Amino acid sequence: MPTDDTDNWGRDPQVRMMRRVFSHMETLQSRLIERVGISPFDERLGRWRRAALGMFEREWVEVSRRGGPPAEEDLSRVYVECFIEILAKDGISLPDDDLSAVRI
Amino acid sequence: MMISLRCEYDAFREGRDGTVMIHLRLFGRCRIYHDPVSPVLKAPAQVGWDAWFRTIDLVTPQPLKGEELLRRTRGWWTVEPNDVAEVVRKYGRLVVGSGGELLVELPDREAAESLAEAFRERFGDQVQLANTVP
Repeated sequence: MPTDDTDNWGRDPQVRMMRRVFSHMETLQSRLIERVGISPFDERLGRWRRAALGMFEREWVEVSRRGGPPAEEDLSRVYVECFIEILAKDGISLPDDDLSAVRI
Repeated sequence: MMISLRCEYDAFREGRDGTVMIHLRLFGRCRIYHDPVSPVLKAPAQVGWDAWFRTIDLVTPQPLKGEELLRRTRGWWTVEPNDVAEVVRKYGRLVVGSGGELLVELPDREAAESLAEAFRERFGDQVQLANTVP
C-alpha cells in the first residue's frame, strides 16, 4: 500500500470503494493471466487490456441502465468476464475448473 | 499451459545505436485510486519567448525526454519519481515512445527481470513494468 501520510482522498467513501473495485479487478486479472500461463510482459496483454476495458465500459453502462449503479463485486466480475471473452476471441480458453478459480 | 510463450518479449525496438532493445511501459499507482497508471505525452510543450527589447513570435514545440515525463508524475503517483528514475538508471534508460508513452529501454531480458525485482524491493507493488500497447 502507498506510504502517503496525507491520504486525504482515502477519507472519501467513493474513493475507498473505487480502490476496492480496482484492487479486486487487478487481483482477478493477475489470477487469470497466471492461469493462462503467460508472462506479465507478454506483448498481447496491452491489446487484451485495451479491448477488455472497452467492452467493460460498455457493459458498465448497460448494467447501470438495467438496474441502477452496479454493486462493487459486480464491477470486478463483469470486468473479468470481459477479459475472458477477449481471450476467447484470440483462441485462448481455460478449462472450467480454472475459470471457476479465477471468478472467486 | 494453454498457449506458447513465443510473445513473451515481443516489445523489441531498435535502440539509439541500432541495437535491439526491450521496451516496457512504466506504471505507477494513482495516488487517488491506487490503480496502475502511466503518463502519456499527448502533445509537446509549446515554448514561446519574451524579451526586454523585442517581440518574439516564435513558438517552438518541445518534446519531453523520458525522465522529464516521469517527473511529471510527481503528486499523481504514490511514489517519488526521482526515486524511480534512480532505480531505472541502474538497468536501462527512460524514453518516450512514438505514441508519447513512458517507456523503459532495456538491453535484454535479464535486465528487465532485474529491474522488476529492484522495483519490488524498493517500492513493493507500487511500480510495475508492463508490455507496450500497440
